[in-house]
Amino acid sequence: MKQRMRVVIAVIGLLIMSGGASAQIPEGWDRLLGPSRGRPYRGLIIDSDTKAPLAGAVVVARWVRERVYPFQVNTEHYAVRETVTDDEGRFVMEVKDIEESAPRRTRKPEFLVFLPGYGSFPHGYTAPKGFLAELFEGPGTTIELPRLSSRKERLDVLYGASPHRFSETPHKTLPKLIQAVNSERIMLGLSPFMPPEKE
Amino acid sequence: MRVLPICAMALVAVQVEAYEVDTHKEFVSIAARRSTVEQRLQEDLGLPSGLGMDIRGSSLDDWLTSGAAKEDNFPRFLNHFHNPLVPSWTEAGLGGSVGQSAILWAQNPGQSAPSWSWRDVRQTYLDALTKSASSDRDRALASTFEGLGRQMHFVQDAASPAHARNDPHVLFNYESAIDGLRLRESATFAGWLDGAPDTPGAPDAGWQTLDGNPLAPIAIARLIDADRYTGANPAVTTGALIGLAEYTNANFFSEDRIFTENDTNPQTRFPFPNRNSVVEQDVDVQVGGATVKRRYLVKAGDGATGYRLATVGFLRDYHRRFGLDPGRFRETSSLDEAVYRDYAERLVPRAVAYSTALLDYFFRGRLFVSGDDRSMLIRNSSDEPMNGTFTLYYDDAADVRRPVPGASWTGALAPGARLTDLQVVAPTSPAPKEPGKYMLVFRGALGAEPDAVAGTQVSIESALFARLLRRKDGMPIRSATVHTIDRATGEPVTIGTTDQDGRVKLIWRPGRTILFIPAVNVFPMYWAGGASFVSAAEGAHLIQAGDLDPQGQVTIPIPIVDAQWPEDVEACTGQPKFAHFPDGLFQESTPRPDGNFDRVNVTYQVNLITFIRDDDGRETILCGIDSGSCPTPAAGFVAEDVNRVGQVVGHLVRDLFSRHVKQIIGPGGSAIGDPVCENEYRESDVVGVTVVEP
Repeated sequence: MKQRMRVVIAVIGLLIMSGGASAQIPEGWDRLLGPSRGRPYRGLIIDSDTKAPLAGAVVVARWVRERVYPFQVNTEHYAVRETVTDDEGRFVMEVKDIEESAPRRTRKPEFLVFLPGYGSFPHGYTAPKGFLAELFEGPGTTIELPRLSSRKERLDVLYGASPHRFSETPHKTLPKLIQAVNSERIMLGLSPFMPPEKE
Repeated sequence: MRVLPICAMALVAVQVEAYEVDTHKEFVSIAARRSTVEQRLQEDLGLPSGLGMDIRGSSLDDWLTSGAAKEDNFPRFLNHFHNPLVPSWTEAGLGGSVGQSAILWAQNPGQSAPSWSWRDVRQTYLDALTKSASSDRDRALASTFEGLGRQMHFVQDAASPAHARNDPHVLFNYESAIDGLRLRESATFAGWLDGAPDTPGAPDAGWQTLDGNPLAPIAIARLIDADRYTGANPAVTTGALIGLAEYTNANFFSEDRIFTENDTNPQTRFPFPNRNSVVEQDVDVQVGGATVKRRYLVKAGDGATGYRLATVGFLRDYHRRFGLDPGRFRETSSLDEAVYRDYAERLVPRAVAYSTALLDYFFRGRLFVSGDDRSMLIRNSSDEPMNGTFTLYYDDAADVRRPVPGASWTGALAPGARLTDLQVVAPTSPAPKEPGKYMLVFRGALGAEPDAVAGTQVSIESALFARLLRRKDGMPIRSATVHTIDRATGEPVTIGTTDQDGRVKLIWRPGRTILFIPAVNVFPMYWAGGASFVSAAEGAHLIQAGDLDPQGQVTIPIPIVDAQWPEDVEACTGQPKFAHFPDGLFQESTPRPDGNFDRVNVTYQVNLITFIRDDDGRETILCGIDSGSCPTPAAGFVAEDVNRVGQVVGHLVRDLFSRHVKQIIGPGGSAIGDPVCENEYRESDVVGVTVVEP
């Protein structure tokens, strides 16, 4: 009991110490889902050299929500969705079901675009620049991916595109990404990701 | 009790952010690729996929990054602070004692269950190297990387001003700004990450040799706090061998610790940076698409310099215009995104470089093994002394890892020093999956770290000494070539030549190896055990450990055989009636009692000699009329013939000619009288050939 009281006192002390100099979020830096939530995300994926559309690129969106703890705001997984670009290199990702039922403090999604042999988005793409979480809103954007030549470049992109960074159960939730990543792993002499016994 | 929920509710409004989870993941992943860990995994542990190795559906890189992410789970993050200026690390945590100092937390084996302290991670690494079941080893290796990700997290947090200045700050802050920049200016963010490892900001070589602090004796503490910055010597923070929290504390502000040099609370009083550390400077900034001038306080002294430390207070002009007493009216500076960018330019590379150093430190133990099981050496290839136990393990066919009986040695090795003349009995039961492949594991003190672990996959060939003796008299057979051959693959294992004592050292694979002796006799032989030999590998003896004496020697008595066949003696000259010389001439003079000499001349010729084996009828043409020489019939022998000494193994079919002349000659060399005899013989005969040991 004494120990608990000591913690309480210390916590109150911290509250006092923390003062009130809270920094304001700069304009345009808010990352939470806004009023446009639920609208589809769109994009066109092309080869940065030839400008040819890239069909079959896997596009993954991942939403996290902010969880507020005493002294800490953590982010935790909320949802993930994947789709694949069509023959014209385009994708449209419908997210109404995910975003309209999203809990408070859910952030705008972060995206991954992965195609074996190419730089990925956001690791190793060439254009465009900007707030990555908003690029695909509204009319969407065109993402240019460079073709990679060296094994090291491809390995670096592969690590950044690991399905486990987007989902704890990628074999279930991101089968297309798993398939694409495994194909690249095999090309690079790595064993493919096998589903764990319990996923 | 009622106060607790009230307190908790109040706290909801207050947040302390470490680098955000995704920022940590980026830091950890880039640090891993920059470190030597990939090399260690591939070269030392024999894992060709390195960080890409799939364990339970995730790569090692994933395990590392997920560890870094999970370390921020509630309430672990309360232990991620370290204030380097308090007198004792026991008071250096959040609020002094609300959380443990990150340094102590990193080395606290009682964190929780499971615990992820350095010692626990060392144990999981030991498990990864030594657990029996392959699945357990994999699980332990995954845990090792998860734990290392958590350990790297602590170091990275020391590059966050709030964590080095005991600041439970509120809302938008340095860390959220950095994560925002990750998304908004990904190229800039990548540039911070991609700094070369030797850019200024990496820990100086030798950081791990600084004196340890008994509260957290493992040297990784020194990555965070080297106990060199006292609060009065900020210049030291840009010099050699400084802890990351010291650098961060002395040179940066956090949101609620701006110019707190005069605070009365020792937990929040930070002497530097102070108002004497800065100069004011106008800088062009973009606001809403327009370029405007904003006035900043630029760090100009007391440690690191040349960056925006904070904005001037928004009421600064008001203060000046009305000549307000700065002692009564607080002019509050703040940190904007431009300041955060300048901070990140200096702190992010350090966060990556220092956590890279931690990873390299974990894998710094290096071992080198050479020799064979008869005489092996282990060398300490690390830069620090090793004092502990070196144990050899092998994997059986079912991937069960087992200690090699009797193959554990204890010793103290200075850097570069060796344990020598070590002997290993190659395991045979159960048989190894790959003969000669072992995992050598060190557990013990490595430098100042008491329970360090190092492992390396090694090849240790088994060696034996073969001693070849001539069976008849036990004399050593010298300069004889001997091969060991893997009977399963048919490939030679090694080739050697006997020395003056008839000994040769050969590499072998227990239970798989046969001996081949190509040229001791005129035909090739495989050893079939004892003093018997065969001509085909299939019948050869598989050498077993039991064949070796305590000195690792197998002694092989070899019958050196030749062919023997009866030959008539010519009555007049006393010489063999025939000989196997295609164009032979024999001449001999012997003194007679009367002072003259008997001179014998014998001419031999061969039309054809063929050796025909009795067992299989195989013919070997030994020589003919145009042959330069005529080999012994043993050229038609096979290895099995050495087991038949004294037996007839075949016949010679011969067509021969000889001319025998005996003449008396005087001392001057002239013939005296007619020849005593002058006989010619031409015969075709068949003669039995016996194997003999001459």
